[in-house]
Amino acid sequence: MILGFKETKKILDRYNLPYLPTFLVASKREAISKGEDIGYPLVAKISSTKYTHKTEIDGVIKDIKNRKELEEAYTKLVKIDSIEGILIQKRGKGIELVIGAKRDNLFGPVVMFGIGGVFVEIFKDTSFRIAPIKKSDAISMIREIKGEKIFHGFRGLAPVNKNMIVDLLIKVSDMITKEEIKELDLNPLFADEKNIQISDARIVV
Amino acid sequence: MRYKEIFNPKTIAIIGAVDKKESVGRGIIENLLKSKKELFFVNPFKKKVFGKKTYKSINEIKSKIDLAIIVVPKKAVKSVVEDLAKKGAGGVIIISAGFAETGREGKKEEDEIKEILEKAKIPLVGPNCLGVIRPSSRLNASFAPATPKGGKIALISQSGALINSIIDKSLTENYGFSVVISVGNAAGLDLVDYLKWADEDKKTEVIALYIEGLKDGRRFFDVLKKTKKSVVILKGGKTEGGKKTVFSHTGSLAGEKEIFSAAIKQAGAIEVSSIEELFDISKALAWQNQFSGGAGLITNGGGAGVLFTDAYNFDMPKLNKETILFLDKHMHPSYSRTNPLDIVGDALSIRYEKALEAMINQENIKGIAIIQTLQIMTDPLKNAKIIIKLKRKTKKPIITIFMGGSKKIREAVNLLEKNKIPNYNDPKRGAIVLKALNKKSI
Repeated sequence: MILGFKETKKILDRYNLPYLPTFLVASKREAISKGEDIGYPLVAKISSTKYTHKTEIDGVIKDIKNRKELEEAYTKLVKIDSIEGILIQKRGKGIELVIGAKRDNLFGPVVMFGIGGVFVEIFKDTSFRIAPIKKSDAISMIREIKGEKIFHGFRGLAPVNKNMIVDLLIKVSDMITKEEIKELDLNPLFADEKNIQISDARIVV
Repeated sequence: MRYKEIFNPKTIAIIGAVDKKESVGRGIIENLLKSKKELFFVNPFKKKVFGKKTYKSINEIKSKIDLAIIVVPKKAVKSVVEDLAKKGAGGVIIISAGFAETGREGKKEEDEIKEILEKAKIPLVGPNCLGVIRPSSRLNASFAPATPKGGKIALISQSGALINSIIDKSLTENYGFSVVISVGNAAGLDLVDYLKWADEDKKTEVIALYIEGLKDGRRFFDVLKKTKKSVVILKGGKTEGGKKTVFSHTGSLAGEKEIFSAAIKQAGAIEVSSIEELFDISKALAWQNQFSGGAGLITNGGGAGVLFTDAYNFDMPKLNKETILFLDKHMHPSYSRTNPLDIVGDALSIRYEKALEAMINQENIKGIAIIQTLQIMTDPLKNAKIIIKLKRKTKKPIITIFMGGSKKIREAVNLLEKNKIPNYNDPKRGAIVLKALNKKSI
């Protein structure tokens, strides 16, 4: 079973996992009010426990720059069936990463790290460790990524803060070890030199 | 668990002893007859086997039995095991097949046997296995067609047939085994028990594992992490069968192969992808130290050096000023003046000697590979002797890549390997080995 936004957020908060400012809204008015609180540019997306990949059903609208665009986005997204509401989120900045975890039949809790985004399953540029992991494990997980160079800054993209990734990997390792979770995706995560923030999370129990 | 009597028994009972040609029982007896242990043949249907009087049952044997080897048909195994539990034994190897590997009914029978032996506190190897070989105690309790040389590699394998081929190959190689264990169905002792034992075993320097499946991955991982000796692992059966429905990226990306490889790496073991690599690396780990830092390469051929460097693709420090000044005095004017150190095709042994001296003396070069392509003026035996002489003065690991296969080369390689310098006849194989010796690259 896939958890809804509120339950997902509750578990992530318990482990101090940094989520981009995000609100689940139930009306256009609420969308606008929350959206203007956060400030543009924004992202609007559906919240649903039915779809594994939101982008495949056009469930994500990025780069909303003003109120008019936000209204249009809401009207469009709300037509999609089996949703629990619309998520209004601050647009993330930086490189897209993925951190995941699962409970393996043979080895128990496992943590994953990699280059994130929609192509994650195409490039498969990921590394794994058996949880719980130590700091040195987290560091070598980052080093193992083929595209590791982009973490140092690439073509105008800021370098990422590796200490923050290490910290987050250890928190996720702690979480998968302690919680009754089957699978976890934090994808994408936006990382730059100052921040690492979750844009989308999925917890399967 | 008492393993001593399995690997170094004084008395051995073979239950199901036969001398019928091409039978498993005969194969085992032929191997055991060479071991000069006290043997008891049990067979209620034959008075003599190999001219030796047989016993109708275990109960007739008066002496203590250290090791019992069961080769009887499956349906008779349980009653033999019951007799053994009453009489007592140091250990049991069940060669007989037809148990858990055949399905639910076989699994039930296997569990019953396991329980009887567990209650009697008798350790069990197998069933459905090839047996065990312990060259240092002159024990070949298996139906392998040959007995391997003694050495420092512990081979623990979930495939018996592979063991036979590995032993056969090793007969013409210079490495040998501290122990060879066929895991079989592992109803009693399993791969992880053997791994723990081999880590404590004084004869073993490196542990080579062939694994297809594990019952408890976590226990394997925890033991592997604590292992003090180097462990080299070949995992078979990596392609996944039917995948379950997954709801996440992680679920779909984290397949059996990825997680197994991650576990091996995280535990500090070395994963290989072929039998050749398993023994290329095991041999080196059995004979040479591991190192941590830069590698140096000496070659008398540019192409071979390039092939090595391509495959090594890791830290190879530049030669420092003092090294170059020293080499300038001894090398051909057109030598490479860099690492890889190309000492030029016409290099005689003196150049190998000076080049190796220079590499040994440069502080940040911690591991060394030496390539020799066979040129008209090359003297492989003399080169080998020089390398052996210089190796005695340094702790830095040295491997060689003497390429070719003529008698001249084979003589030199045998001499090198008798002196524990591992040789490979392809630059890529050598590069993979040197990388495995480098702790920083794992």
